[in-house]
Amino acid sequence: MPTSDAELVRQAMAGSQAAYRTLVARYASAAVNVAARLVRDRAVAEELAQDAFVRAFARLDSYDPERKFSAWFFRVLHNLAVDHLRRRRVETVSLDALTAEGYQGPRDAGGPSPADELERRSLAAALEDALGRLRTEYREAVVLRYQQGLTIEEIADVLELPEGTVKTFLHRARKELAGLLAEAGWRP
Amino acid sequence: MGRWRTHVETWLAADRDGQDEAADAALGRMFAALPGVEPSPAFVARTVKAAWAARARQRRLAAWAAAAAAVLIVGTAGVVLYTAIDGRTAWLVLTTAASLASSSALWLVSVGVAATGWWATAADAGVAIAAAMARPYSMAALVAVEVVAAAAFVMLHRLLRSDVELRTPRAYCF
Repeated sequence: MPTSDAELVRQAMAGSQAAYRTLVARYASAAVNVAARLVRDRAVAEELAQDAFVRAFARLDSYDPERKFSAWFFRVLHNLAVDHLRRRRVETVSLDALTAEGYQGPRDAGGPSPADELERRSLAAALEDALGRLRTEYREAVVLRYQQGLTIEEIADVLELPEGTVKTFLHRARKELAGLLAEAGWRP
Repeated sequence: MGRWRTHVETWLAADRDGQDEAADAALGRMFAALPGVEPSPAFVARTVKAAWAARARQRRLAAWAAAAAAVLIVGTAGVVLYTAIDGRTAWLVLTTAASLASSSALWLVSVGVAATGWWATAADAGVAIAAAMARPYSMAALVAVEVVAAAAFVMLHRLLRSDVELRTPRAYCF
C-alpha cells in the first residue's frame, strides 16, 4: 500500500528528502500538465511546476492533512500561474506549437486504429484550440475538473471561489467549448 | 463514426438537453484525447534539490535576519540608553554643577575677598609692630614696661598673700 500524501508530507517536514521526492514524483505530471494548459508553454509550465513544488515545500506546515494534498498543491500552482499570466500576456498558440515543444503521444494506448488515432488527434487539436480561447479562469476550472478530476469543492478551494461560481464557470466553459468545437466541425 | 466523435456528440447532446451530469462525464472522456505533457526526466531530482536549496537559503536568510535584528535592537537600545541615561545624567550634572558653581563661586569669592582683607590687615599690623620693635628706644621702653609690669605683679602677689594670712592665720599662700 503506497504511503499516503499526508504521511509523506509529515516525513518531508521531518527532513526526509526521499519522502518529498516521492511526493513530487506523484504529482509532477499533473502539475506540469495543468501548468501547460494554463500558460501554454512547456518550458514555462515546467518552471512553474518546479516553483510550485519549492514553494509548497517551504509551506508544508500550512498543509492540513485532513484535506487532499493535490487540491492544496494545485492552489499553490494556481497562484503562481496567475501571477505569471498577469506578468506576461501569453499568446494563444496552436497545438502544433505545443506538440513541437514536447507534447507526447496519446494517453490511452491500447492499440488504436490509424483512423481512431487520426480522429483523436483532430479532436485534441480542436479541443486544445478551444481551450486556448477560453478565459483563463474558465480554462483552469475545466482543466482541474476534466483533466485532473477534482471535485467542485476542491476546485473552489484551489481557485478560492464559491462553489456556485465554479459551477457557473464550468457551465459557461462547456457552452463556449461546444460552440468552439462546433465551429471547428465537431457537431452532431 | 469513431469513438472520439461519439464522445463529442454525446457531450453536445447532453449539454443541449440540459443533462449536466451526462455532459460532465462525456466531456471528461473527451479530455482523454488531449496529449499529456510529461515533465523532463530530471524534473523530480532537480525540483527536490531546488526545494532543499531554497530551504537552506531561507534558513540562512532567517539566521542573517535574526542576527541583523539582534544587532539593530542592541544598537538601538544602546543608543536610546546612552541618549536617555547619559542625557539625564549630563543634565543633572550640569544643573547641579551650575548651581553649586554659582553659589560656591560667590562664597569663595566673598570668603577670598574677606580673607585677603584680614590678611592684609594682619600683615600691616605685623609690619607696624615689627617696625616699632626694631627701634632701640622702642625696645628700651618695652623692656621698661615689662620690668614695671613684673614688679607690679610681685607687689600684687605679696599683697594678696598678706591679706590671706590676716583672714586665716594657719593657712599658707604660695
